[in-house]
Amino acid sequence: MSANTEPTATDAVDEPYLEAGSRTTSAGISTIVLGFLAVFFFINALLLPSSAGEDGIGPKSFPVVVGIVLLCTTILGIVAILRGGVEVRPVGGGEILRVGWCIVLFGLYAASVFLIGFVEASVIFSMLVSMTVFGVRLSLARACGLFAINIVIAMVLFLIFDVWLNVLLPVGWLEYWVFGGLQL
Amino acid sequence: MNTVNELLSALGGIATSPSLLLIILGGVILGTVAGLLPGIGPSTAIALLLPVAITVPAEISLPLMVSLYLGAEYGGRISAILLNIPGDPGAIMTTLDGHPMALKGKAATALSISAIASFVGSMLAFLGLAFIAGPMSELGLAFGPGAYFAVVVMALVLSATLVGSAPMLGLTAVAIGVAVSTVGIELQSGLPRFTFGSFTLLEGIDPIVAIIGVFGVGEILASTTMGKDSQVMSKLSGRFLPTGRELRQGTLPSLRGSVIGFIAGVLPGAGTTIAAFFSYGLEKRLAPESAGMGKGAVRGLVAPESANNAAVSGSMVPLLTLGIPGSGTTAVLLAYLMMYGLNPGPGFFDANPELAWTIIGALLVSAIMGVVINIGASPLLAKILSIPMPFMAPVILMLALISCYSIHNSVTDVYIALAFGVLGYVMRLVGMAPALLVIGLVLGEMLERNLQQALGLTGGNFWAVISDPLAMVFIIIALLALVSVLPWRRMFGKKKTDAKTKV
Repeated sequence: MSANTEPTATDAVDEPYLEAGSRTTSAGISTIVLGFLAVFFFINALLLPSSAGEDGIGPKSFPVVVGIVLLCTTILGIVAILRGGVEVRPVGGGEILRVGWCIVLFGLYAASVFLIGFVEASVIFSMLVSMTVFGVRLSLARACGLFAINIVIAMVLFLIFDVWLNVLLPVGWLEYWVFGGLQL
Repeated sequence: MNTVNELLSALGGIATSPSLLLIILGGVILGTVAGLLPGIGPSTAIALLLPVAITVPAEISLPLMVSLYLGAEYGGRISAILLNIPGDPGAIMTTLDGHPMALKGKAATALSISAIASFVGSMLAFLGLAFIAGPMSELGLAFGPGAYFAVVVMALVLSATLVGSAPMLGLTAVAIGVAVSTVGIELQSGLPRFTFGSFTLLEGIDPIVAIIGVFGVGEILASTTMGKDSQVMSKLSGRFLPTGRELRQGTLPSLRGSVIGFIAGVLPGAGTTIAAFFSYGLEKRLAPESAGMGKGAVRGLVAPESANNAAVSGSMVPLLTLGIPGSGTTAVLLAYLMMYGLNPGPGFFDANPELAWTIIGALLVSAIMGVVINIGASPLLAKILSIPMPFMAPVILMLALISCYSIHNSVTDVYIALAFGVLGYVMRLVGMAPALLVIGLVLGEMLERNLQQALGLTGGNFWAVISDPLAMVFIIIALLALVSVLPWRRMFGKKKTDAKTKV
């Protein structure tokens, strides 16, 4: 650290990130995902009904051409990745776990928001993301503080989007109690 | 003369409308904050603002979006200088001399010099946009469907070859975007494609949902690696006002950066990153050894900053006159314009003169507000930067959920955005620019529509479509771009390289 730097609020965050990453893992993940997408699209493009018009172009022609281009460029791209011709960011097992967990949490958040309401789901989601995905370890007092801050943030977002901008967000008991009861 | 009148009229309209001035001010502030926070950036911020945008008319939301875009280019430099992390991709080159300058105890000076450079870039590019946009829009009217198809092909190829770590992966990203644009009912035959029995997919994948996914969710997934060490902030030390010597050192590089930035902005897909890269590269070549490039040189700081701000106005030229996005963020803006039923491109200035000139005028007002805010509120902005990502990320994901949900009041859109977020994360692993996917997605529909129209006019003869002289020019440019990125050295120059290595 340089003499001109000073610690910030981030010092409250524990550091679980200094792990050795693997370029092979990144290359493997990207190869599988990109390869799957290209093959999936190309096969499904071939299965489309042709029903070509007089000008020779139907709903199938364009996707098939795009599918061929996608397949060719993906193959060449994968070759470049595997031959080391592309700058690949190394990724470790810990990162994959955190990303996977973040995806699961976001999926559960989207599902639960309709069951328990926007504010309630958002508060639980925020706490879980901070503490599990980013590995923030907090004392009970700080956790309570963060919980309160998250409630305020979620309520403010609800107020802005649902009440003022008429984006119909799912209402839970807390929103109903605070905003519904006041007939805003 | 007509241009001057239209411009003055638009500026007069903005100046006499307190609400519009407030909207632009809000956009610049939001943009600066979005730009300075690593992991957000203008594309994400604009996509997340969708719930706000759909409640107000285009005359208000579009000035908000462009001011946010320009504000983000101002903001990106703050984290680049103080944290050594570019707040947005356009500020990557700013880290090279900006952060060393901060480490020398001149962080405040670096912030003010770069803000002035950003202002110079914005102003010069604004003039370029104002005087080029009108005539270029008229030129675009001469394009038939065949020429337009060729322009889109050229734009896609140029974008893919200019951005990202490997041209083949760039082309893959663009092709994925075009592939996604084919989902939904095909307009000519009325047949569904790639819907797999889903009613939601019949309408196709909304570009905004994909944008929120690859930029918003994808960026957060990628930021789970952001640790404490990457957020050690430099002290805001040094004098705020630059000395006369520092200003003199920065004048010419700033002017050169502005011109390069504007030209790079006009190139489809190139955007702010390429603009900053080119201008820094030029300064490095021109600078004597004693200039200390890479060690906190003023010219190394101002050139990329002028360039990335100039690229914002530059990227508006192809967007407004041809309907072709000049950058990832303008691809998001194009999606917005389409959402309002507006079709930017040839004839846009004739059909919507007031809106078009208000957008241009908003860029000028944003540039002025940007420099005032970014110099005056530097200490406050630096404080925002100390909010750690673990507490910022959930809020961004909440906004992503609201933005996706607000489009059709459907949770399916949220899951689609999540899928695109995963794709965006994977793309980032191998250096593929998510902006390319977005460019492919928003131009894909235009590509197919123009191809269908052109083939309809020529009785299905594809050769007749591309042998049109105008179309041929664009196709040749696209082919040249493709040829230029082939690994010639690997194919033919290996022996020479080996020989050199032996020597």
